[in-house]
Formats: sequence, C-alpha cells, structure tokens
Amino acid sequence: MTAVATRPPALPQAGPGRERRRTSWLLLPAAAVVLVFFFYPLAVILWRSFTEPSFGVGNYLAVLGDEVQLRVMLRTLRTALIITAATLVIAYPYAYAMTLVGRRARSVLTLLVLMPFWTSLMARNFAWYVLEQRGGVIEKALAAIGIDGVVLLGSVAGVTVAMVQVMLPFMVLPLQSSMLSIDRSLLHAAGSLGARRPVAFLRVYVPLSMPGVLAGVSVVFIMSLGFYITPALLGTPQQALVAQVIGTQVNDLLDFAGAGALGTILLVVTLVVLAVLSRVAAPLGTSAAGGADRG
Amino acid sequence: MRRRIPTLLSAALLLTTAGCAISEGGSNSLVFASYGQGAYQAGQRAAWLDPYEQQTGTTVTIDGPSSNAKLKAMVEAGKVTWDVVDTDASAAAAVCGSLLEPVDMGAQAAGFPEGSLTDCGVPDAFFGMMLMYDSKVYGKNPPAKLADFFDPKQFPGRRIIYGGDPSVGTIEAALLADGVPRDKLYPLDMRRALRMYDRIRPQLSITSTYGDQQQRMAGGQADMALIVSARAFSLLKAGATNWKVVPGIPVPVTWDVLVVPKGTARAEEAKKLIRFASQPAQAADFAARAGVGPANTAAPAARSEIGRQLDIWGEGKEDLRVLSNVRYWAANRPELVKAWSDWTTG
Repeated sequence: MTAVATRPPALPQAGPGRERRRTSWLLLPAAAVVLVFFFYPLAVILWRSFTEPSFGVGNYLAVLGDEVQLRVMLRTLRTALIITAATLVIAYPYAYAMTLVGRRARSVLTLLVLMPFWTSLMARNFAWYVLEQRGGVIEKALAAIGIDGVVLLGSVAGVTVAMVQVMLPFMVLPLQSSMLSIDRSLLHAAGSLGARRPVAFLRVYVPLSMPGVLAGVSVVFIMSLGFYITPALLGTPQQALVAQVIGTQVNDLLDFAGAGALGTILLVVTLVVLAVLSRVAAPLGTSAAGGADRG
Repeated sequence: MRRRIPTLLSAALLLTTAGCAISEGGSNSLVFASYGQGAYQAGQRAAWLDPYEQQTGTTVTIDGPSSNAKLKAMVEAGKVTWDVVDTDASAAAAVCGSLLEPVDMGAQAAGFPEGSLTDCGVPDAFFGMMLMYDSKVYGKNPPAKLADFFDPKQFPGRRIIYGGDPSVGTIEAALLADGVPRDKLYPLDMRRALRMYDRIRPQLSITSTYGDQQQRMAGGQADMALIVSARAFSLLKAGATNWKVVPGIPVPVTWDVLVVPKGTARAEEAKKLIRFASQPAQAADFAARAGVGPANTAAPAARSEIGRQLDIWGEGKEDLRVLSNVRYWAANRPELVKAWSDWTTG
C-alpha cells in the first residue's frame, strides 16, 4: 500500500488493452492466495454471522443494541484517530528532513525508521512494558523534571505511545516518497513571486505532499483499527479495543457468529473510511485507497 | 493457452500445500494439548507422558497452547489434530456431547473430589483462588479476610486480578467477601459481585492473561491480588517472597479437566492416557511438580513449604475450600461471561 504514495509518471502506452490481456495472468497467483486465504474465510465468517444461531440479522442487532460494544467501537475509532494524528505530526517533519539531507544521512534516517520492522513485535511490546511500568524509565524521567506519578502501563496513553512507534514507518515511507517527487524549484518560484518561506511551504509544498499524507493516514488509521497484540499487552481490559472484544467472544464465549458480526461491522467501518479518503484523494490525482493509478 | 499453464501450476501448488498443512500422526502416537512452557506442562510431561510412553510405546507429542476456540474450530471442520486437551472444567461441561466425547472412568470415578467429575471432563488439576498481599507494603497490618480486598479505605493499595475468564473463582470470591454463605453461592448473584468490584474499580488492574498478572505482581505493579494457586506457586518459586498468602480464609476452588475432542481417530487411546494420568501416584507427582491440587483424593498432600501455603486439600481445609458448581457455570456461561466482560470493558 505504501507504494502508491507517488503518482507514476504517465508513460505513453501502446495498445493498453492488449498489454493488459497479455500480462493479467501474472496476477493469478496473488489472486489465488487472496481467494483461498482471505475471501473464503471472510465468506465463511459472513455466512456464520447471518446464520447462527438462527437465520437473520440477530447478531448485528445484538451488537448495535449493545451499549458496551458501541462504546468500545467509538473508543477504537478515537484511539485510531489519535494514533494517526500523533504519527503524522512526528512523521511529517522527519520525512521532510529526509528529503533535505545528503544520501548517507538519509540512509541512517531510513534505517532508524525501519528498525521496528526488524525487531520482533513481542520484543518491542515487552520493551515498552518495561519502560512504561511503575518505577520504569518513563516514570523516573518525568519525575526528574517534576511530573510525578505518570504510569503509562495499563492506560490508553501507554497503548497510544507504543502504537505510534509501531506505525511510524507506515507514515514516514509514503510521506518521504511523495516528498521526494516534489520539485523544490517550485518553492523558489513561489519566493520569486513574493511569498515568504512559511507561506510558500504551506501553500505550495504541503498541498503537493498531500498524496503521501493521505496514503500514510489511511494505512495507519486502518491498521490501528484492528490492532490486537499491543493493546492486549500494554492496556487492560478496562480500555479494551474492538479486536480484544472479538478475542473474548471467540476464546471465552465460543461465539463465532457474534464475533463475526462485530468483525464485519469493523470491516464496514474500515471500508467507509477508505471510501471517504479516496474521495478526498481523487482530486489530488492519487488514490489513497491503495489502488494504483490505471494507465 | 500455453501461457495459462504456469498459472494453473502455481494455483494447484498453492491448493495442495494448503491441504497438507495439517499433518496427522500415526496410530501409535497421541497429541496432548496443554498450556505451553512452564511448570504446569513440564509437570505433565514428566509425571504422565514420559511414563506412559515407556509403558505403552505410544509417542505423545505436546501441542498448544490449549484453546477452546481452536478446539471448536477443529471439531467443526472435521480436522481434529488434538487427542487429549487440558481445558477448564466449566467450558468443557458446556460443550460436552457437542464438541467432546464422554469419558467413562469406571471404578476410578470414586477417586475424584465429590462433584468434580463430569461426563466429558476428567479433573486433572485443582486451583484455589488465593488472596495475596505484598508484605513490604502492608507490614504489620496485612489484609486478613476476603472483605479486606474490597475495602480500599482500610486497606489502600493497588489490586490486581485476572479478568480473562470469570469462572476461576473471581465472582465467588466477591460474594464470599460480601457475606454470602458458601452453600448459598449458586445461583450466582452477578450484580452483587460486580457491586463489590465497583468499590475497588479505581484501584483495580485487570489483566487478560495469568502470565501478565504474575509479571506485574513480581514487578511491584500491585499491592494485593486474587490469584490462582498455580500462578501463585510460580510467583513464589521465582523468588517473589515478599508476597504472602492470607491464611485461614475461604478459598474458591476451580479445576482443569482432560477432555477428548469429538472426531479424533484415536479416542480410545486418548481415554487410556487419561485413565493412566488419573491414578493416585501420577496425580500426586504432577500436583507436586506444578503446584496444583491433585485430582485424586487418595494422593498424599503437598509437602513443600510453598505447596503447603497454597494447599487446599490438607487437614482443616475442608471448611475453607468452596468448590465451583461447574454445572451451573456450564449452563449459564454466556450470560455470566458477557456480564463480566461488559463490566471490565465498559
């Protein structure tokens, strides 16, 4: 999904129709994987959510009529939104800096942002666990500057901090690749037309980087909606997100159909978010929804 | 047309690998699903599986972690790879006949604590829900009764409980603390129990795994805890000796059972293993290794220092232990678990 951040230069294509026919078989292995390992299970989940224990929309009505489930859904949306906003605020200047520095410094910055990819998710979560716990580094550091008693472990804040770190690469990479394609001489042009530097940046650079912003925002937001391990480990059931509630329904209640209904609702919410974002992205000449531009 | 061949080949390859992913052992082997690395599974390996292998020549492989959801998925899909599964008693009783095979224990049935053996679930480990406190925090004025756990005024401090499954004595402990007589616990007054937990909600941490609870207690993240004895055993064994068990108070008791999933091709062999593990010597050996209560009344009581603190079967304990009503739990599980998870996540 990160590859869509920049718009590929429109190459002149000879006979696109025939080209497409000739190469479409390349997609078949991928299609087979998706069909067998994604669509089939998804279809089973959907089917069960509408047929167990009896045919109808009972499971969906149960979720929508359940105050706690709705509260958890809203909490999940709010948490995902906060994570996305925080990730964007941190990633934007970082990605911008990456486009300004020399090649070697850029490799180092890329390395730093990719680090989370190379460490096991569990190792990272346990590292955060140690940092965030009572008497941990974070509490001690904050106490040293006069802020006492901040224990992030077991709070939404603690989960958010850890998830922002996990999500950073998904925001930085599309931003950076989008920014690299921006012609910086446009900023000079704006300057020569009388725009002061902050104005030129806000009116010229930021709009041009919007495809990257939208790609990053949609990936991070959607991944945050379904996150399971980090909230389960660093949070507590008191602030459970949808994925954990689904986990309880499957593991403790063996209610596969009810869990399926909740999962389907989460999927629909995700698709709606995607649709809205692609709507927003369309005038920018890119599709944030992960669909590549079609030649 | 020629171009389609690689496609078909790759698709076919994919489908066959998907089909072969589930391997099934031979007739002379069994798969035993337990809870993963730790004193519990290691104890089962040493006390039951190794001697059983030696005696019968059957190879027993351990898989896990045990999961009721996975078991349900296996049985429904008709691809059962587990032959014997260690799971909790009330969940097993709830799916007896639909997902599990009945296990006839014959004359051995008399060896189990009264009321603990059900048609499909053969008890293999008993747990007490223990009240523990950090002696460094409470010093000379430690909590002395269950009600103290729910009294943040007299006993300030952070509480911790395991919140994944309420059927481990969590509800019973609150009701006993509130003065419900032990013989009047069932049917459970869930709302009354939740009102007790409301009192300590600001001080309460709820963990979704036992491991997390144990970790947080060892790391000084809590001052008082309701914790199952097997985890208390691991905690004390790992050297967290500042944690003390409150003695002489009622202890809700729950247990794990061994079950045979419906549809395994080796059901008879699986039942043989269960009968083997249920003998007094095997039950006692496992109980001593894992720090759990033995599932056989003929097994001798715990002898180790830690084992004695957590003992639920010894002399003088019969008036304190309160055995769970698994049949009640099995019949009302969905409502009870839902009410509990609504309270914890709400």
